Parts: sequence; structure tokens; C-alpha cells
Amino acid sequence: MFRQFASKEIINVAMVVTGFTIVCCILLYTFIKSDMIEGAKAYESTLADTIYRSMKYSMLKSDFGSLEQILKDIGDQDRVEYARIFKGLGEVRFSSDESEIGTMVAGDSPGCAKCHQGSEPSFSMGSMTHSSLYLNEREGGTLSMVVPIPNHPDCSTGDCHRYHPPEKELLGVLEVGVSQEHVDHCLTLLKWRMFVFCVMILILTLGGVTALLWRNVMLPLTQIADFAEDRAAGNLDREPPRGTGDFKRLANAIEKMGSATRQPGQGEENTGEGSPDSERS
Amino acid sequence: MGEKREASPESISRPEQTRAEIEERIRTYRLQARKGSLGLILFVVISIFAIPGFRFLPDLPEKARQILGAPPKPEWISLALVVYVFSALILILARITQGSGGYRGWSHLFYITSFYIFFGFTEVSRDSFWAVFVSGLIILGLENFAVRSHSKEVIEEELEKLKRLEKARGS
Repeated sequence: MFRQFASKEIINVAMVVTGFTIVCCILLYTFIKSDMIEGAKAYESTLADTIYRSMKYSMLKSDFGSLEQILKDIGDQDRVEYARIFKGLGEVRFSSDESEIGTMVAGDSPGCAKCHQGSEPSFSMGSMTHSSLYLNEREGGTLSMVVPIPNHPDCSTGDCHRYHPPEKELLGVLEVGVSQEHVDHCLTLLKWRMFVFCVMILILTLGGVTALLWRNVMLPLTQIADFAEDRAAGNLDREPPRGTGDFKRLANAIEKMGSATRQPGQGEENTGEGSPDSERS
Repeated sequence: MGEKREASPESISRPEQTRAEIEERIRTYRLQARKGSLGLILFVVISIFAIPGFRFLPDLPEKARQILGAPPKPEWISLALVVYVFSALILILARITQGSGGYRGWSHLFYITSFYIFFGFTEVSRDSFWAVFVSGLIILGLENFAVRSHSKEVIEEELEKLKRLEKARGS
């Protein structure tokens, strides 16, 4: 009988509690993942802005050695995969990786799409507002930020620096790639922790409901069933099992039924052997 | 001794009629029990079509998107999903407690499909697909379990009646 009970009650409760917990964990994971990715994007945006501002003075002073060193130092940071500046046509001019210098960047990456949607590229003086953040699958799933470097008035009119003609609107593009390994690692850990949590909830639910059902329902029922069978077999001396509520009512009712059966029989027993009435007959 | 009373045609056919009615009820409940499995299978098929990246159906035209307007935020849809799952589970448990039969999974199939459509419009990540998929599995699984248990109980009672009928005929 416990198996019948178990299959109906325990499975229902386990499905409901564990299932709801799993759904909430998945949605929570989704929210945490999007928050972590937003955090990573904010970090990259700040990093790119810092690089852009640091480079601006070096470029104004035509201090290319300093510019190369800045990019190299940034590229040496733990989570930074690459930092490069390429010209408007795509040739890499400065990079944290010297072997890239002179190569062409891939023109079909999602980072290029924001400005190169039409036949003519679109950009404006606001570099950071026209930056674009994208997941660079080609280069190991890094989060890349592409920042156009516009031609400011200082760049073409200063006494020390007349390298760039004023009609040239774009001087180059800064691209910074930050590894998402740390974020992916944190998300994987989070996934496993939630999985373990759900398994624990399932075990506790199954175990808790089983224990409660067994203790509060099955055990008293078994005791009352044994008591009723004993009564039916004629053993009227057995004490009813202790219980509360409806189980106590049931035990008392069975006891009374047994006593009611005994009383008419007691009259017959008194007229049996050795009794005063039997001698009269 | 009185005359032997011959059995009338009506009294012979009554047990046969009862037997036929019982068997008809058993067939009905067996069919009802299968509805739960059918609902689950349909849900899995719909989920295959809803997998992100599996574009079985064409994209919505731009004009239709303009008419429909901007989709709700993914956070609001997730909140709606949590509230729906919670309410659905409570209602199913209440029906199980009352012992009322009948399969109500078709409406849940419709609601779950709507959530797939909403998340599809907002183009959120694959994780939202799993949230909806697990929700559907739990709700339709519980509905299936409820209808099967109820049908099994009723079928056992009817089989018991059939057995008693056979015994009475035999004696």
C-alpha cells in the first residue's frame, strides 16, 4: 500500500516542488548571465575609453613609440586578448601583437557592421557613442570593442601636427578584445551550483514527504489494521494502538465493535458448564 | 410449490446492458488516459520548432512587426512565466486533491506555446528556451500523471463491478 501512496503523493509533490525550483533557477541563471555580460561590457567600454584618451596625447605629439608601448602594456594584462589600431581601410598600424602589424582585419566581422551597413561608412565626432561591442567568435569568443578615431580640429591644425588633412574624417579605428573566459568560468560554476541545489531540493522533498507519510499515515494505519485483524480473529484483550485525531477515533470504534460483539457472547458463556443456570436446565 | 417463474427477456438483458455500460466507461477512461501522453508528445514537437536557431518557420515580416509594436522586456516575460507556472501547479494540485477527472492540458499547451512566441520575438538567449521547456514538461507531466491516476482508479472500480457482475451471473 505504501507504494501506491508513494506513487501518487510523493511523485506529485516532488514534481511540483523540484520542477518549480528548476524553472526559477533557470530564469535566475538567465538574469545573472545578462547582468554579468553587461558588467563585462561596461568594463570593456571603460577600458577602451581609457586607451583612447591615453593614446590621444601620444598621437598628437606623434610619439608612436609611446603609443606602441601603451598598446603592448594593455595587451599584456591578464584578460586583454588584443588591442590594435587599424587605418580606415583595415590595415593594422599599431598592435599589442607585433606580428599583426601590416595585416588586414576581416571586413565582415559584426564589429564592422555598425558603421559599414550602407555603401558609405557612417561615423561622427562622438567616438564612444559610435563604438560597437560584439562577441568575436573568430578570435576565441572574446568580447571586442571597436572605437572609431575621428579627426579632431587639433589633429590637423596644430603647429606640431599637420599630418592629417582636415577633409579626412576618420584617422583610424581602435579595437580592444577582452577574454570572456572568466565570465564563462563563473557562469559554469553557477550552473553546477544551481544543479546541485536542485538535486538537494529533490532529495529533501522526496525524503521529507516519504518520512512524514510513513510516520504520520502508514505506520498508524498498519497498527490499526493489525489491531482490527486481531479483533476479527477473536483476540479481544489487545490494547488499541495509541494515536491522535481520526486514527484514535478509528481505533476506539474498532475496540467498541469488539466489545459489543463480546457482550451477547458473555450471556451465553454464563449459561455454559459450571454455571448456576446450566444446572437448572 | 409455486409455479416456476420464467425469466423475462428484460431481466436477462439487464445484466448485459450493465456489462456493456461498464465496458464503455472503461474504454472512455482508457482513451482519456492516453490524452496526457498525446499532450506531452505535441509539446515536445512544438518545442523542437521553438529551439533557437532552428528556423523552421519564416521570420515575421517587417510590416507585421511594426503593427505589433515593440515586444515586452524579457524580464517581464520571465516574471509572467514564473507566475503562470506557480498558478498552474496550484490549480492542478487542487484538482488532484478534489479527485476531479478530465484532461485540461490543451489550454496549458496553448499558454506554453505563447511563451515560446513571446521569447522568440524578444530574441533572448537559449536559456529562456530551457526555462519554458522545463515549465511545460512539469505542467503537462503533472496533468498526464493526474489524468492517468484518476483514470486508473476509475477503471479499477469498474473492473471490480464487472467481476461482481460475473460472479452474480455465475451463481
